[in-house]
Amino acid sequence: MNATFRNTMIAVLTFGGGTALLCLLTFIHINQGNVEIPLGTVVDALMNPKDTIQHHTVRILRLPRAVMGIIAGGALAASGVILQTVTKNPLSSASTLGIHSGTYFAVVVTTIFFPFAMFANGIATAFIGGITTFAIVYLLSGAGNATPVRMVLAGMIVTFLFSSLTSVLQIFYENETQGLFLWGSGTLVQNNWDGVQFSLPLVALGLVIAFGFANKLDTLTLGDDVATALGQNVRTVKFISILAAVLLTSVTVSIVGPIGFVGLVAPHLIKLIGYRSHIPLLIGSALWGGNVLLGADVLARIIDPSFSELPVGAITALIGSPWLIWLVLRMKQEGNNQETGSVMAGKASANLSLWKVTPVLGIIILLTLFVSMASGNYGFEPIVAYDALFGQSNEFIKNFILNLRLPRALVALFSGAILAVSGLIFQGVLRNPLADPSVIGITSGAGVGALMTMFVFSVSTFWIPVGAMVGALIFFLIVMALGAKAEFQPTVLALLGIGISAFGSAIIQILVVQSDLGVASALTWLSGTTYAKGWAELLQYLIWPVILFIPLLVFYIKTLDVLSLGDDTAKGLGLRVRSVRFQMALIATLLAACSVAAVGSIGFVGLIAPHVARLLVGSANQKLLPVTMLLGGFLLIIADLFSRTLLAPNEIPSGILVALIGAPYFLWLMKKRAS
Amino acid sequence: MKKFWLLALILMLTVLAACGGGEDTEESGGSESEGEQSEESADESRSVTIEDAMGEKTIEGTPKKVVVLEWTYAEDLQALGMEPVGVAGLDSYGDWVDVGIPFSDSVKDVGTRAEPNLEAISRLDPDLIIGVKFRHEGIADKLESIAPTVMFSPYSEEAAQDQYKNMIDEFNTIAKVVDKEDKAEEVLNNMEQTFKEQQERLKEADKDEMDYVITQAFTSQNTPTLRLFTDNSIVAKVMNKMGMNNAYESDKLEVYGYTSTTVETLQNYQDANFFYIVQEEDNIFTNQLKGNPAWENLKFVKENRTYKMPGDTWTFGGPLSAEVLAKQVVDAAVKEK
Repeated sequence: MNATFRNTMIAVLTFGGGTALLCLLTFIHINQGNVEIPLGTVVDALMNPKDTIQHHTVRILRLPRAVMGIIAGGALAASGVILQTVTKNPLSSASTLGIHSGTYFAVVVTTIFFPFAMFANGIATAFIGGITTFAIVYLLSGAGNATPVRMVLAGMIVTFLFSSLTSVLQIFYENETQGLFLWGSGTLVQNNWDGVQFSLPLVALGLVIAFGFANKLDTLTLGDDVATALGQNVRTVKFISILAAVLLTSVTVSIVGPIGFVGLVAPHLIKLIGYRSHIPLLIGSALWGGNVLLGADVLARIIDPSFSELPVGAITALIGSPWLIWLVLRMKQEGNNQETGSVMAGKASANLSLWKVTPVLGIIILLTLFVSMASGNYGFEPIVAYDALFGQSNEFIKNFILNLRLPRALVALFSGAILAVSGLIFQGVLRNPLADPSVIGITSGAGVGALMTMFVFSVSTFWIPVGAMVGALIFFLIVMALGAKAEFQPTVLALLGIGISAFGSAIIQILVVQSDLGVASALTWLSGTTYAKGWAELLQYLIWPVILFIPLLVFYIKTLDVLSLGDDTAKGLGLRVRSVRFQMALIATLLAACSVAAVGSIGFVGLIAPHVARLLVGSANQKLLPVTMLLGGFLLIIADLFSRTLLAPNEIPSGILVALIGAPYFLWLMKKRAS
Repeated sequence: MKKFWLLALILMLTVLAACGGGEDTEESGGSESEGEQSEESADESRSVTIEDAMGEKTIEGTPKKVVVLEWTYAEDLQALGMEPVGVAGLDSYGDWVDVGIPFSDSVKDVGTRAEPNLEAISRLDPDLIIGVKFRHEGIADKLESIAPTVMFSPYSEEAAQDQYKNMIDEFNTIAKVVDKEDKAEEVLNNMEQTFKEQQERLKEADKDEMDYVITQAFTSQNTPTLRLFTDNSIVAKVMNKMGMNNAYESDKLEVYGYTSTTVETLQNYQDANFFYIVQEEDNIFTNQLKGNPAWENLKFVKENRTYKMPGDTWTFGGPLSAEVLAKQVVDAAVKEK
């Protein structure tokens, strides 16, 4: 009796309370605006509409936005429930699986190349983009056998890839994509009821399918085998329910843009309360998803009372990412320990001798450097460059090559090298082939530090790199402090990194929108670029870490080999696993921070260079160190070369070029590992 | 360090050569200039000291080859009867700035305004670079090593107090550096004259004391966005000079001279006359807002007190833009609807 009463109370609070809160939030929401409208008039506008401008403001400018928030929040949360059940992954949601970025990319591509296909808000392309991205992530992370962390990491890489591609398109087609910027970070802005009218039937359709499959989804939670034994066609159920989830997501993305974390937070709230069966789970999540999103929008407008749009997606990330972190730490307590073995991709190694590989790489780098010296706005001029470097040449040209092109290429070489080493260490420490300074959240921390320096302390640009380093270190310490409880388990640490990264990006977005001044230079810098780098950066940030850390690493890096045997074996061999992890990760952070200080946040280098190195010389870290450095440097020199010359005199951020070079390779790598 | 001095020396020599050569034949920007070493020019001894965003600065000689990294200053140079040798964002300049003086083909594009191409600038071998602090502070050293660089800061708290005054200060500073102060005075007098003439036109139409709200409107993130200009902006200042009154006020200092807002805000200014600058292909008033009662019911819409101005009205320009602006405002105001 008592238990029944309690359950009833919980149900009343969850559903009744949720609805009441939704009404309250809607009411607060429609009272926020640029014009003061008396409370009475607002009520009047709802109850007794007249043809006055204030009533129209409430009913045509404000109400659609609130309703759209509820629809979008509900749709995202419901799709989160489905994705979590089907992938058997508590961390699944449209944003963690990369579906958002794929959808967004598809819409941007369509807007530019096939504008005629943008009918109905581009829902068709958004849907195709979403479903394709899910397929890619699902297959690449090993389909049914994928562990939660693999799937989320794969989702993250795909997100990384698609956002780079999107930025490239935005650079090349600035005019066509202009209107997509804020939408790209999620906004509920509505001009009229069109958005609601369009999305409501489709979201309803998606929800009806989901409800129709609710019982089957319940069976699915018992495991595929049980479900099959109970006479269910597991494949069909999965397929159709995923279609419904992607439909729900792509409808919302096509109207309000990619809004993250709602699909993660809301289902977990309901699960925490204790609901396991899908009917109440779907209803509850949709209800609270609406609450989360609407609440975030209310909050956004409180934070920024000037009503220059603060992307609501940033607010949901700010609220949602601590949730992710909390969830991850909870997962750890459930003893999720399956991925502690070595996960290095070393099988296909050519096992070449170090004495063959390094000189060849060295020569290739020297040649590339020369090509870089010889290439510029006026094409390829090898003789001019040769004369400038070795022979008699016009002093003007000589200085021009030696003081503009050479230092810039050297900055690329050095920062590529230390980034690569940083990635190598992180991959060893976390025993995770997808680790990289940006995965751990350090790059994002550097960005926060840099912007904080400019915006909060408003000091000169000279201090930006210092701020970046401080930011990177602080974020590193936070990740480590959180990870310490989990004994730095690879899985936990990587997921913490993702949570922290999202948190950092949200802060960056908010700062960028909030400060109208002076962020231009910080933004260019954030996108990761070798633009205008010279001797100063080389001497200040890049030379000394190489002198200081690399010799240290030469002796120390062997411990990574021991770590790769697994924690228990390593402990058995007398290694103080925890402290070694911490020290190595600290060195890797410092290296990454130096590189970020010099060239901003460039991804993929730390990810790819160690992998290629492993393919060449096998998995012994002592051999990997020099090869990884050379490969990382080479990669960035190439990127720098193209960034200067492809669109001269306009520049392409080299960070984006690295992603373009790295992405195809990475997809191949992930596929290889999955099979 | 040695290299730096070498570079500086080379630069000075080429500058002097260029000055000497450029005296009788006006254009020399397009050709390779290293070759034509000729006799030194006469005004090598001239030096001016000015105050820019980075502090006090002395510039030797009279710059002839100027690279401009922000549009406003390209326009300033045009007003002074000079043509820059290189302009950042050259291709889109004409879309936004139209003061009736097209660039010749010898003007080179030096990359984007956010990331101007150092190599391209260096190849032009300029003897003066003009940039803005908020974009180019990070590369100030590099620019300085190519040529003396003047760096303005039009959106600093201080400059934003009165952007019109700041615009004139910057214009005069440039004139001082390139030794065209007489010409500058003439330009500014012409501008004042234009304001007076346009005010006369307003008076004839009996519209010289009209209350106004002026906005630049465009679609941003799928949303009709309005920039309402505040009194510290050049636009408002010019209109006020012609005897009009800005009805819009912001409670904080807007460093860019406008508040970005949505159509909702307009309800507060329904009694004023509504001036709007809008690009034809992105006319939010005929595209998104037509038929929307929250727009159609505004008093100035109902009473036909809206005045459209061309999309290339450049609100952040120099004296010539200000003149164009004054004419366009009056054209819009007196036009019978």
